[in-house]
Amino acid sequence: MTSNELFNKLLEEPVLIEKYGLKEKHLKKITLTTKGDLQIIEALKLIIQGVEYANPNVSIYKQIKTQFNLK
Amino acid sequence: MASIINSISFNNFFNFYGDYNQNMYEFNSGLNVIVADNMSGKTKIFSAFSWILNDEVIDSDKEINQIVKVENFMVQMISDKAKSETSLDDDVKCGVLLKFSDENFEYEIEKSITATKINDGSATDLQNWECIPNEVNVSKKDLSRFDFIPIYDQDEKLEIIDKVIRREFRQYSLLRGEAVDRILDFSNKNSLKAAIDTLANISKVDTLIKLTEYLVNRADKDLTNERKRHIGDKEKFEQKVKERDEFRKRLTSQEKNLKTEQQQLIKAKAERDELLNLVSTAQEREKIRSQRSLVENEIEEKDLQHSELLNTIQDHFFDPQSAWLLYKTGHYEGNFNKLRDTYIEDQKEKRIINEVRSGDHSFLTKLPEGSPDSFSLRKMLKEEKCFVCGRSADEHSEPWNHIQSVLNAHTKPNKLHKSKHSFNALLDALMRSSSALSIQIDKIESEVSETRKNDVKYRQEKKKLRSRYDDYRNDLLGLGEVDGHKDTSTINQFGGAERRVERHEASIKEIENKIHDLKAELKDKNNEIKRLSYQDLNIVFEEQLSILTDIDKMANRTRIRLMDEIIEKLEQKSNEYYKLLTESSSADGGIIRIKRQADEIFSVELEDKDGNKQYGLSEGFQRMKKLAVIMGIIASKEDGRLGYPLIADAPLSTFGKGLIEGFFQQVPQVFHQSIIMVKDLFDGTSDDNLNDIGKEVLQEIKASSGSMHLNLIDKGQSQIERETSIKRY
Repeated sequence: MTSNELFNKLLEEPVLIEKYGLKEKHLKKITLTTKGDLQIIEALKLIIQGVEYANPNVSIYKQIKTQFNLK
Repeated sequence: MASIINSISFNNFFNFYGDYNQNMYEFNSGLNVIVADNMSGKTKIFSAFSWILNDEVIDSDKEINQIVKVENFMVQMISDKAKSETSLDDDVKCGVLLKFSDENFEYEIEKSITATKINDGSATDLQNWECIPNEVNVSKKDLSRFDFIPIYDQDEKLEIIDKVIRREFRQYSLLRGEAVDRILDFSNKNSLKAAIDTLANISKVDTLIKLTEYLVNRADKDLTNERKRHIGDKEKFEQKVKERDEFRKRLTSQEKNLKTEQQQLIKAKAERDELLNLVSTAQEREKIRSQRSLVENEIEEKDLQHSELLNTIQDHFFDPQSAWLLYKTGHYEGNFNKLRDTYIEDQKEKRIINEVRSGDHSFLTKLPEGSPDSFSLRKMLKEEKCFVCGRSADEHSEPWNHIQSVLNAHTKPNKLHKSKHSFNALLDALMRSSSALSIQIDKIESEVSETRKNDVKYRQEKKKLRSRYDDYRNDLLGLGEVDGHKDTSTINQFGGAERRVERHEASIKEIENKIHDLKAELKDKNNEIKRLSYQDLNIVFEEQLSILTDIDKMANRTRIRLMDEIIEKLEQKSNEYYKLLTESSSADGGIIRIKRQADEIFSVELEDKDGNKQYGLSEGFQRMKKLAVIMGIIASKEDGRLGYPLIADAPLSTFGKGLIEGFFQQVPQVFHQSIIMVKDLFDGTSDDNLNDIGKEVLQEIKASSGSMHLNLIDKGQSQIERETSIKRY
């Protein structure tokens, strides 16, 4: 299973529409490489790329914190 | 890229005596069948593949075939005949040579050992040999060239061996009899999960889940620290955090317990369901045995009663109180009386004659013919009248006195005759003693008749009981008679499994309630902590935790969805193969259903078209079910066909004819090459040693591709002289 396949599978989760207000049309346009502004999607991208490149968990968390502007 | 095994050959390997050229099987793509009777080398061929691929062989001398490492079994692997021909200090080589090819290259892999005889004595004695494994020889040849190039790099050698059958597929490609059952032990959580991992590389999702769990924990810790920084009453805050962490720990522990219990429940259910197929027959057999035992007791009792009756008959004959010895002798009594009277009369006559001779003539005054008897004479005297002439005879008159003298002469002889040999006393005694028995003689007939009736009754009852006993015995044979203890054990095991199912179900309910309560308490604790620390809190920490928690949930749910999709596809593929594999069988094998029982636990069941679970299907169907799932796994992964050969030893031992036919028709659809060692096509009485199905399979092979070989062994030879010869059809 490729990272893109996994990412697309995750985007099928209804919570994104129900809780985060994303539209299906919008979801279809999202890819791993395109930059967006929704926190959950950006965090998801970081996580999947971290898995793909086998990055250490600690550094993935640091990247996420940076994304949330947390020190 | 598909690989094809071109040949496998043996050098003094088990019963394959001689060099590689003498012991070679050549294969093609498609179906390759090696037909062999029992003990004719099927498992040895399988061992040869297993040696090349896994450095293991099968020790088939054990009651249950065991997989053993080659390094621990070297002496036994060498042909006994070759060993017996080896002199002291001489060497003997044993090896397997496998040739295979892919689209670009042809490869040779040789694994061998050299054994040196170090002691005189028995060739089969392990102590007399020293064995060394030889370097594995691997070489390859470009298909466009002539020469093989030896490979020296160990990694490359392993890569080439992996090309025969890739490691992760070996468990599905190297099948050995009952091993099919073990490959997919559906009660084992890891069994189907491993298959699904093979299919979907779902392990990437597992990594994702582990990562998101870590991220949630880290975000939670950071949030807690952030709250701590903004709290006034730090002591109280820390206490609440401690309490919350304690609840979390307990929740994690209970969730772990729940998984364990769910797994145990599946296992117990699988065991119960498996036993359910056997237990109804076992219970039926036990019922019949119990009824048969009652009949046995009844027969014993009747036998006793009957022999008592027969003994009574004997007693009747020899008991002095019984008259049975006189049975049918009633007429002798009359004869006896007549003879006795005659005897008395004769005696009387003799006495008179003797008296006359001695001058006493009183008895000569004979009454004329038709004279009255003594009774009439007495009556005449009493009535003073002669009944003969009708005249009166007054008392003491001359006529009266005459009548008196006639009576006297008749009844009171003057002298008693005494005979030296008189039997009167004996006859009187006989008459007296027999008179008691003679009364019984008349009853004997009815007594004998009654006894005979009882005898017939006992015989008929015993006959009926024996017939019932035979019926029970036949019923037992019909149900496949097995040792009674085995049935008792099956019934007990089933009872045990049922109790375990109940126990685990109760535990699961209890744990679920605990988890529910713990979650509620955890929520309360989190709210308490939140209330304590809400002033000036950087809410981004909360946002971060919330988003990461959602991602964690998404990852877990995605995993479930992925597995469900794979399971659905697998179920569909498995059913396609199951239908094809079982279509030649007359019985309805049902539909395969792969069901999620718990988080990661699946069960594979057979259901009818209405969704009812099917029990009581033969072992052949159960094995076909698993084989169909294996085919489904391969087909789901490899676009319908596996690029590696199927090598199977006796996979059909419990199959019926229909299933065997289905197997040979369908295997080539899934495996581009299959090498099957079977006994089920062998018929030693046929000219070509093939039974009807064997002949059909041979025709199929001749019409397409593949090969068929026959193993022959002279079972009359001693083990040490025994060798397997190979015939190609």
